[in-house]
Amino acid sequence: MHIIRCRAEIIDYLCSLKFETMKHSVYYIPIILILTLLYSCEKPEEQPSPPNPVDNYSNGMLIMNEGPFQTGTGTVSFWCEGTEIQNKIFQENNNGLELGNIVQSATVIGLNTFIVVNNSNKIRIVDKNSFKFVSSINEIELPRYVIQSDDGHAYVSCWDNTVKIINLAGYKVTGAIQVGTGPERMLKVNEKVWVLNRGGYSTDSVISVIDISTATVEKTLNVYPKPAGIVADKNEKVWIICSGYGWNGVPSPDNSKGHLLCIDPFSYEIITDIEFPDSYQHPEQLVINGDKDILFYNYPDGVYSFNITSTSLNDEPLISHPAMFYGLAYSDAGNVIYCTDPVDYVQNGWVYKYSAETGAVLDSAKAGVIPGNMIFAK
Amino acid sequence: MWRYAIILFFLPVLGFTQKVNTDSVIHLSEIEVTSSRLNRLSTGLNITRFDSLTLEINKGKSLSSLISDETPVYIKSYGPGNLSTISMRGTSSTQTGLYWNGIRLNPPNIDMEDLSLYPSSFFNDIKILKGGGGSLFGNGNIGGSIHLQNNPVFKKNIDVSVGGTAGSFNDYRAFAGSVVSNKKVWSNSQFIYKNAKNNFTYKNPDGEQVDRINTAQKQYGFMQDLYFIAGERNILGASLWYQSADREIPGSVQVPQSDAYQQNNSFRSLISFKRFWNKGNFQTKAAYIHSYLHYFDPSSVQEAEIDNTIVTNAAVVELNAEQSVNDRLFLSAGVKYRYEDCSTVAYKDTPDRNTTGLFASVNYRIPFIEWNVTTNLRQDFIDGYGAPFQPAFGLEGKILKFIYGKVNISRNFRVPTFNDLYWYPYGNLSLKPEKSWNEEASLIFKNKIEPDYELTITGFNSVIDDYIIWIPVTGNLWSPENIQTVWARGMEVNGTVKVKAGDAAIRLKAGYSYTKSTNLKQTGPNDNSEGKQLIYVPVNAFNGNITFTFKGFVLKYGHSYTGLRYTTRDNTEYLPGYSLGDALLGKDIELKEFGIKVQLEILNLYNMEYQSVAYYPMPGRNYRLSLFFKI
Repeated sequence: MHIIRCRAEIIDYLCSLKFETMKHSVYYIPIILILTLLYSCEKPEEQPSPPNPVDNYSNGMLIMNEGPFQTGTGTVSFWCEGTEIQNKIFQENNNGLELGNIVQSATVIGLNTFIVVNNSNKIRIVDKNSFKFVSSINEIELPRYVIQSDDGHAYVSCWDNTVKIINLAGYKVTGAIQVGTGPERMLKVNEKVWVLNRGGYSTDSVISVIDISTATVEKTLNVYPKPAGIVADKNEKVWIICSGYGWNGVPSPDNSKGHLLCIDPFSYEIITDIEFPDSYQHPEQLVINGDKDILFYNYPDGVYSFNITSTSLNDEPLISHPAMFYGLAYSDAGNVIYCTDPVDYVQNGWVYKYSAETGAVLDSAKAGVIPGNMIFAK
Repeated sequence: MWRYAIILFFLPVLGFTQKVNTDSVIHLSEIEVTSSRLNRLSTGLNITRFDSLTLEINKGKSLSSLISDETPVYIKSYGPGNLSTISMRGTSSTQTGLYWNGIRLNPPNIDMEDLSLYPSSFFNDIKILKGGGGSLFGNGNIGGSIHLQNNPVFKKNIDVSVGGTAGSFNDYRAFAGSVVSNKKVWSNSQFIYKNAKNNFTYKNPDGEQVDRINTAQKQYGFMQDLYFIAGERNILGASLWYQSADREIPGSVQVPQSDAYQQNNSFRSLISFKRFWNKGNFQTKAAYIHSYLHYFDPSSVQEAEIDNTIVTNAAVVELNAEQSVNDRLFLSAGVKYRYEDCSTVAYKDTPDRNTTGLFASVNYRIPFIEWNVTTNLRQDFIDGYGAPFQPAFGLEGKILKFIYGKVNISRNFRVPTFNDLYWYPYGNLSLKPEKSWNEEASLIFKNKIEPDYELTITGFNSVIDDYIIWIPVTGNLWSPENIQTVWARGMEVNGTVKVKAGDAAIRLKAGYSYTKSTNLKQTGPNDNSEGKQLIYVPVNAFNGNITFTFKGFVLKYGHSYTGLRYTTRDNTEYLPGYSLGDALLGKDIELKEFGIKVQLEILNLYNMEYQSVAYYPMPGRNYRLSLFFKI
């Protein structure tokens, strides 16, 4: 019974097909339809037209946008008082040339700006006013920050646990000084360069003090885990912020608390040592105002200020923000603080401008992907 | 006698499937070893099946190349021999299931599979089911699913083929297969070997032509299937599949120097038993899947060295019964249990997961109009999760003489991956499953005699709630959150035209997809991704090819267009679209003792410079010569 029905069905089906062929022309309709539908054209969503490149990138904030992690290129934005932010200024001024992956930091030395491209192992050197490409130092292992050491040289902290010496005349690496693990921020104090060894992919807690005249580590100071920021105050004392070990928001027994330290640069004596309250909230970044008497640092709930005469941390942030800021910079042009918010690290981030006095938001602008380090270009 | 009963049982199924599905050769003695879920119970959904000619000329290719060369489905590739994942219907590869004879292969740690590691020559049946398949296959089938199968054919036959290809950039591949069968036994043995340097030249960001480095690959694998008919009404089956791949992992063009390498070993085994009776059958199968992945990235900076080993295990047991009550009503019900675990240094423990799924389906052919209607119901019970009930409803049939229609509505979900849950310290144990409603409707124009064509126009729509993405929660801490709602919708047009004139035949195949897949929710105070297209989901994709066969000659030209893909969630950065052309010329030479096939391919004919993943270059024009013998 079942078998018969099946066969009958197939025969029925075949018959119906034969019958259908009689009206031949209608079968071409779908073919015409397919050809019509297969036409496609597309345009990306409205992109803001690139701003006209200016030839003088001074008196404004240079913002390093790291770029997408591992794959993309970083970019540089320029934001000047009273004007629109200009993004991708390196590409704009260099025929689309890309900086490379993870634009970590920048430093102005003389007439040039040294842009450190961490993951691409290079330093791009541009004219500080026109941002035109001058030179490039390639194959320098995981560079982080650059600081001028003397008239003819600069130091580069590198994650191969060295500080490289580069010659400012020929842009060549002329030497290397072995330091701690994962050297990052540096500060020149009294003809010495203090190098913070944050630990790179692991953790370190030492500061290497390099004597510039001999290019050797003269002193190794043991501080707290992850020294993250260093500034000098008006009394020529050195302030250091240590993040402490652990992740924000994840309490764990092996975490350690952050510390704010004040060190005498001559005796290396720790004058002040203030511990942060929690081992699961860690401070990052350290900047100082123009009068060199108020410090600012990033904390999970915003930016805090600290008067150098205080003996305890402020309980409330100067600037509240639901997500922890990434970059932090101070500009005495208007006594303002700049902060960056990378949002989710896979879209363009934001830069905020706040009053350093009141913490009131003054302005904001959309920069590139992962805005981080910022420097004020004079 | 029973053998005929088996065949005849499938006749109505195959007959109807044929009416609506794509072109394929049907052997009446071919048995679907899996249940009818993919065929009879997927009513209203679209299935792309690669026909035997397509599988034949793409024999040396990986599954990812087969899909990207033959369909408009988007494959996101880091380059030849490197990670290649699928994106279907506006979703990501974690929302797409990969099945081997009905057994899910997606590892629990990431739920996505690298399709570049799957040799397409291993299977005689490869299908892509688009859209929601949760009611049929369970967890993780929101965008679609890929089904790799070997269907035994019980007839006297010996089919041995040995072949090899040599391609540009030192790419050498060999494959051998033997299918031996009679009326009782079917044995299928497959072997592949691949050794490729992939050292193609590309233009680096400074405009110099340089060679791609650290991108070599070595791979070998074998598979054995054995099926036999026992006592006339039972089919017993056993399959083993082992594969090993060693490959170097190149960096992006911005950071081309790399010493990273990865080893993937996988072992898969399956036993099955199927018993037929009058108008019904019972099937049970058990599978064990083991995979080992070792990633090593040495670094001169000692702390930056990455050495990670990931081992996953899965065991599956499934029972299923099917019964035709009469020639209109068909019932199916079953239970599936799956255990899976994963160990890696990235987790604090070795997490595991038990999933039990109960499912039942009713398929009915409506009298007079002869439309097919199916309702599938499925409830999964997963450790720690209130898995949503997954119903689906499908309807399909003839509207007018040569016009058919179909619709499908389904509820689907995906549980978080082990990485989402357990990655230390970012894993988020409070994640909920992603849930979706998927709807689609198709109109099919079909003519089986001159001119033989089929054209399917499909509109689809789905909203995925609690879509998981990793976002920074506090400062340096990233964590996965159920934070997006994704609305994926669009249209697909797929068509085939076949014309025959004497010994010559022309086949024209084309597919176009338009996919809008946007996030409906702002995910943070400064987030600008609301209303924006998901990253790496092309809005427009086209793939078309024309194949001309004449007296053993095959001449084929394929053309594809992949539209721009955004690379940032706020759609400010994108990769431009690209068009690729491929040409193929082949000749079958029949000798007395054996047959020889010679084939020359020119890939990326127009030497297009393009990237599938940002800053990962793809090769320019390249060539491949294949030679194989058939006994």
